[in-house]
Amino acid sequence: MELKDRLGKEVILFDGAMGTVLQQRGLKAGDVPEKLNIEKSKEIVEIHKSYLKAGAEILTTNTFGANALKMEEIDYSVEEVISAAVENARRAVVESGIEAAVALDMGPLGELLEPMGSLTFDEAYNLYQQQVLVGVEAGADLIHIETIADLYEARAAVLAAKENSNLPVFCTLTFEEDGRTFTGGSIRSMISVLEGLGVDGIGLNCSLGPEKLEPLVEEVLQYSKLPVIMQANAGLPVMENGETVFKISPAEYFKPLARLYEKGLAVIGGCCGTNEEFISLIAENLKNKKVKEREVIKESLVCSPSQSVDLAGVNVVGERINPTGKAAFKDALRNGDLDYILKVAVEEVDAGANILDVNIGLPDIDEKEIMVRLIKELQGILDVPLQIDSSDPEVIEAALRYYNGTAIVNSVNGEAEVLEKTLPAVKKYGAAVIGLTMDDNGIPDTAAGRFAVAERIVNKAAEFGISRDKIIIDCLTLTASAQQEGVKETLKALNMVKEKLGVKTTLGVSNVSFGLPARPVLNRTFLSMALYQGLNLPIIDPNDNEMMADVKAAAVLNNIDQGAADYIEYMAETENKSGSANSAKEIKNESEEKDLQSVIIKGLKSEAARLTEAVLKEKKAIEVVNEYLIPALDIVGERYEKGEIFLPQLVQSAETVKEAFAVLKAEMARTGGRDISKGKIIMATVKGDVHDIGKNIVKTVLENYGYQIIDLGKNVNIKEIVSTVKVNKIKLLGLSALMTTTVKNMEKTIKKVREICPETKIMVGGAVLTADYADMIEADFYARDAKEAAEIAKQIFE
Amino acid sequence: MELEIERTEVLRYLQTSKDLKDDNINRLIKEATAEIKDLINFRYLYRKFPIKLNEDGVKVRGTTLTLKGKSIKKHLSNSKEIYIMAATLGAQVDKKISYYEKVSVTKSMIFDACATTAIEAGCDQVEKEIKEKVLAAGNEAITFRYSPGYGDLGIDIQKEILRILNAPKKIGLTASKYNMLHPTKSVTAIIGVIAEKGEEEQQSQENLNSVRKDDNLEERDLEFESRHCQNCLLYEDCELRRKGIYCGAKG
Repeated sequence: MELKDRLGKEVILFDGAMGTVLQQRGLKAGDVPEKLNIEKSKEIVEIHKSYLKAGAEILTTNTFGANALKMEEIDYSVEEVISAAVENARRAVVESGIEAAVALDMGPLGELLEPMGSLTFDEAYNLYQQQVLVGVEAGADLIHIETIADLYEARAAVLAAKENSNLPVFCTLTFEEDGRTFTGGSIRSMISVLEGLGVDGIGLNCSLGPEKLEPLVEEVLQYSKLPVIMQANAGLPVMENGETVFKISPAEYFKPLARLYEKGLAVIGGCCGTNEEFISLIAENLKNKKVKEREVIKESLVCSPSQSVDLAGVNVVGERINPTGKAAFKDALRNGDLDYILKVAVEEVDAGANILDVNIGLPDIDEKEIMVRLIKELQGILDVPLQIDSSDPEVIEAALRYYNGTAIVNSVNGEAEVLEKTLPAVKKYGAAVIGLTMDDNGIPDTAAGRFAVAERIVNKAAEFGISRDKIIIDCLTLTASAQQEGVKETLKALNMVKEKLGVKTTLGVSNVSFGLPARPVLNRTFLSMALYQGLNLPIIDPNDNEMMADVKAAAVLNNIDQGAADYIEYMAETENKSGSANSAKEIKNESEEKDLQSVIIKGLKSEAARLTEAVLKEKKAIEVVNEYLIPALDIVGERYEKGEIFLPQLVQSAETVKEAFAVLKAEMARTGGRDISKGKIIMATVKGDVHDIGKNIVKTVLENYGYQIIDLGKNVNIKEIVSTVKVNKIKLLGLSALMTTTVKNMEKTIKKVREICPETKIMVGGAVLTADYADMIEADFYARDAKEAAEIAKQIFE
Repeated sequence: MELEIERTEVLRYLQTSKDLKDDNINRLIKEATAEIKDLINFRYLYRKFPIKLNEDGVKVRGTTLTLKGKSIKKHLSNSKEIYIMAATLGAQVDKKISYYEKVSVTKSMIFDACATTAIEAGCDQVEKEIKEKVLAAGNEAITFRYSPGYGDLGIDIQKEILRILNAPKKIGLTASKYNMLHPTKSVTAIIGVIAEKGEEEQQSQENLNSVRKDDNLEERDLEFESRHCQNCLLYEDCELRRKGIYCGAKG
C-alpha cells in the first residue's frame, strides 16, 4: 500500500536524529552538517541504513538547513546538497533492500521573519521554493517541514511545498513546555492554519522529551482531524565535559509514545538525541499497527498565531477600519499614513473588539498594495484575528497570502461570478467566508428568498471543498425608515440559516436606524433581537459601550457565556476604566493646568485636545500654532539644550503638540482653511534594520514643526523608498540606520534616490553615523538628533 | 528566572538625571516595568570551550570559530578556556515595543529602556552562574562579558556563535544577514576563565592608567571605563562617556 493510503490508518515510522548522530561521530560545533551529503556520503548512507534496519518507513534527508541562506557559508549549492542528500537516502533503500519513502527535510531558515526580523515573507517563500523544486527533481516522495517556531515561516514553507509539488506535505512545529512557540504561537492556531492550508500530516517535534511533549500532542489529537505526527527529543540534553548528552533510555522514551498511540497518534519518529535503538523499540511495538480511532472536538476557529476565536460564540467585529464617510481616514489612506489606521485599530482592540474588519476600499488608491502593507503592520502589533473586507478578488487573495493566521473574507454573495472568482482563494488559504444573501437580482424581500441565496452559497462553497463550519451568512440589515417590513424578514432569515444550514451568522447593525431619531436606541434594540435569533458576529463600533454591553449581556442570557465569566470580566474592566479616568482627572485638577502652553511644556498629552479646542473658539488655527505651539516648543527645546529636561520629556511634549495639531487639522478641514503643513518629508529605517525608535522620535518632532511626514516604517526596501519619493515629489528624505552593517543599505538607497530623483535632499541619522560617515555615503545632511533634523528641514523648506 | 528592573538603570538608558522629577515619566516607567515582566520569556544558553591564541586572534577549539582581532586576544590573554553565552528576552517584548511606537513614542522609549535593563540584568545573572561554576572548579576569576562589536571583534561572527550553541533551535535566537540579533533584546558574549589572578591585576592597573582623563572626572567611573569603554571603537569621541553615562553593562 502507498504511504498516502496508509497515512492515518496504520502507524507509520519515521527515522531518528541525524544532526546529533553526526556530532557523536565527530562533527564540530558550528559546522554545517549538510555538506557531509557530498563529503562523507558513505557515512550518511550508513546512518540511513541503520534506521531502515531498525524499522523506519520514512527516511529524512540530511537537509535540515539546506537553504540558500545557510549554504552561502559552504562551497556547495542548494542543488548539489539536496540532490546528493536525496540520492544518499535512495542508495540506502536500494543497498539494504528495505522499502521506504524518502522525505525532503526542510527546517527553519535560521533568520527571523518580518515583523520581528528582517526576512520578508516573499524571501522566505523563495528560499523554500528553491528547496522544494530541487527536492522534487531529485525524486523525494514527500516533504517534511519540521522544527518550525514561527507560524509565518511554516506558512511560507507549506505554500512553497504545495504550490511547487504534488507531494504529500507534513509539517511539525516546536513548542516550549507552556504550549507556545518562541514567537508566541499556540497549538490551536497551528492546527487552524495548517489544516487550512491543506497539509497531510501535522504535529510536534524537537525541544522537549516525549513525556513533556505528551500533553501538547494530546491537545493536537483532541483538536486536529489530520494524522498526528510526533518526533520528540531524547529528553532534555545535559552538558557533560562540554558535550551535549541525552540521558533517557529507549524504554523510557517509548512509554509516553505507547500512551499516545492509544489516543490515536499516527506517525512516529525521533528527534535530537535519538538513534536506531529508539526507532527499533518503537517498531517492535507499533509497526503496521492500526491507528486508534479518536473523537475530534469540532471548532470553527479564526486566528492569529497567538489568539484564536471560535466563531460559534458571540464575538464583536470592529467596523472602524473603513474609509466610508470619513474624510480624515481617506486622507490618511491617500497619503499612505498607515499610522492613523493603526491607531484606529488599537482603539478598537482596547475597546474589546474580538476581530477587526479591514476595509480600505477607495477608488483612487492601489488597494492591493496598501492592503498587504496594512495587514503586515496590523499583525506586527496586534493579536486579534482579521476580517479582510474587499470586493476585489485579487485584493482578497493577496491579503490572505500575507495574513499570518486564519482570516475571514468579507464577502461573497449569490452571484455565480463572484463565487467562482473568490472561493478558490478562500479554500486555498483555509479562510472563513461571509456570504451576503443577495445576488444579481438584488436582496430578496422575504426570509425564504434570502435563505435560498444562502443555501446556494453553501452548496457552491461545498463544491470548492469549503465546509459549513467556515461559512458565515449575512442576511443583510435593512433600514427601518425605508423598508420597515423588511427588518423582521432579516431576523427570520437569520434564524432559518442558523437552524437549517448550520452556518454562523453576521450582521452590520447600525444601518437599521438610518433616517430616524435617537439611532442608538434602535441599534441596540435591533442588536438584542438579532442576538436572540442567534447572531454570532455583530459588526459594530466597539467604542460604543452600550452596544458592547448588550452583546455581553445577550451572551449570558442566551446561555453562551458559561457562568457569565466573560460578562463579569468585561463589566469589571469597564468599571476600572472609568474609575482610572476619574483618578487621572483628579491629578490634573490638582495641577490646575488650564493653559495650553504649560500643558505642552509638562507633556500632559490627554489635556492637549480639550485646551486646543477651547483656544480655537477665540483664535484661528494658524494663530494657535504661532502664539501657543511654537513658543511652547521653543521653551521645551531651550530647556532640553540646557540639560534641564531630558529626551523622554522632550518627546512627551512633542507628542502633546501632536494632539493639538490633530485638533487644528480637523478644524482646517472643517472650515476649508489653508493647509498648515509646511511640506512633506519621507522618513524610513533602511532595509535590514528593525530598530525604529530613533526615527520615530525625529518624526514626532518634525511633525511638531508643521511638516507632514510620510513614514515608511522599518526594514524598508530601496524600491519602495525611491517610488514614494518620486510619486510625492519629495524635497527632503530622512533615513535612519542603527548598525554599520545596515549603513551599507543606506548608502545603496542614497545612490538609487540620486539616480532617479536628483533634486531630493537626503538627511541621515542613527547610532553609528557621524558627520564624516554621512559625507562618505554622500548624504546631504547628518542630523545628530531630532532638533538638528528640524533645523535641516527649516533650511530646505523656508 | 525573575529579572530585576532597577529604576536607576532605566533612567540611565533614557539618559536622564538620576533623580528625574517628572511625574508622568516616572509613572510610565513604573507601568512599563510591571507590564514587561509578563512579556519577558528569558532564555539563555552557554557552553565551555578550550581556546588557543594564535596569530589572528583566538581559536575556539572543537568548533569552527576563530575570534579575530587584537582586542579579544588581549581580553583572553590570561585564559585557556572560555564560556560562550547567548540570552534573549524573546519576541513578545519586541512586539510590544513596536506596538507602543504606534501608540506613544514616549512609552516605546521607556519600554525599550526597561527591556535593555532587563536583558542586562539577565546577563548579569547568567554571568554569576558561570562564575560560580568557574570558581567551584578551582579557578580564580572570570573576565567581564565581551560581545561581538566590542573593540575590533566583528559582529559578523554572530551567526556562527549562535550555530555553535544551537541557539536558534534551543532559545529561538537568530541573527539576520546584517548580523543583527533577532529578537533584538538579546546578547551574545564571551567570558574568559582566569585560572590564576596575578597577571590580570597587573593588566587592569595598566588599563586604569591609560584611561583618558579628559572631562568631567567627578561624574565618571574610571574603573568601569578601564574595563569596558577602553575597548570600544568610539572610546575617544564618545560624548556619553564624557558625561559619565555608560551604554554597556554597568552593574
